[in-house]
Amino acid sequence: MGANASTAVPVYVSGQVLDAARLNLTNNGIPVFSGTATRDAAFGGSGEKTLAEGQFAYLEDTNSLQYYSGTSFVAASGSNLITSGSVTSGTTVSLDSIFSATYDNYYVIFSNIVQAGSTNVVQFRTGGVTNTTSNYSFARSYLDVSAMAFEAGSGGTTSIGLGSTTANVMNTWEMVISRPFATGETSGWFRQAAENTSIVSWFGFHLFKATTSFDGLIYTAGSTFTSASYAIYGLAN
Amino acid sequence: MKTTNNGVLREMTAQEITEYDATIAEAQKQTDAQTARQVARQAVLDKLGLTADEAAALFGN
Repeated sequence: MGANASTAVPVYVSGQVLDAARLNLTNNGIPVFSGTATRDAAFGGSGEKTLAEGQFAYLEDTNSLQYYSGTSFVAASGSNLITSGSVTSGTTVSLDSIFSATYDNYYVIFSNIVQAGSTNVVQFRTGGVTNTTSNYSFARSYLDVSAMAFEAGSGGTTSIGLGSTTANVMNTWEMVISRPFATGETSGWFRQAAENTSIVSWFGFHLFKATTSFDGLIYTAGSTFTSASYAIYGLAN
Repeated sequence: MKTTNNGVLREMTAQEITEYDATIAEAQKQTDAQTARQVARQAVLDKLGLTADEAAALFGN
């Protein structure tokens, strides 16, 4: 728990002595909590403020700013970082427990990717297990400084194929994923850019055509990473 | 062969290696199919005596 973290949001009564300790409690501005449990426990109790619409809170565990809508705490900004990190080896990056009921839609970005291969593939996961069924579909187009091609879509595949990039040159891809956690179809779009002798870009959309709830994804490269950085954001409902 | 799971680098399990090989094989198949389509398209353009730019002007792409 950080220096700003609160355990209560006080309310004062007429005639009460406001000593330093009590005033310090109100000096923090937006109250900071270690997580949702301490946040929820800080309101409504004896000597605590009654939770009401417009109350802000900052959560340390998710680095997120929230406000109370009158029925629940919701994200105060459009996007909220769920997790981020980087790798310097390995051939796959899997991220579990990143999708939840908190958000319907997600933004995923992998940047500064340098790998020894050319393949870039994404699949979804549930409970740490990769879904390898033939329910993925995607279509993509290709663009560089001298050519553009609309590629035929691929249906009934076991993964989402992003761009086919040149080995050992830096590339970046990003993806919007709609409703992966909901028990329904998952869809969205993606794009990838790679630096080569010229800039190369891929644009496409994806669909998982089965009613499956996912809580993670795996990014598979054609060969070993030299570097890659990632960040996953939940988009406020 | 290694994987990074939630920030932890480790050796892949036998199951993960099997899945990796299958995923890469399918991706390669898709790339090969796309290359074959481009080759076939170029063959038609060559037959017609059209450049790629002329074909794009005629057909949109």
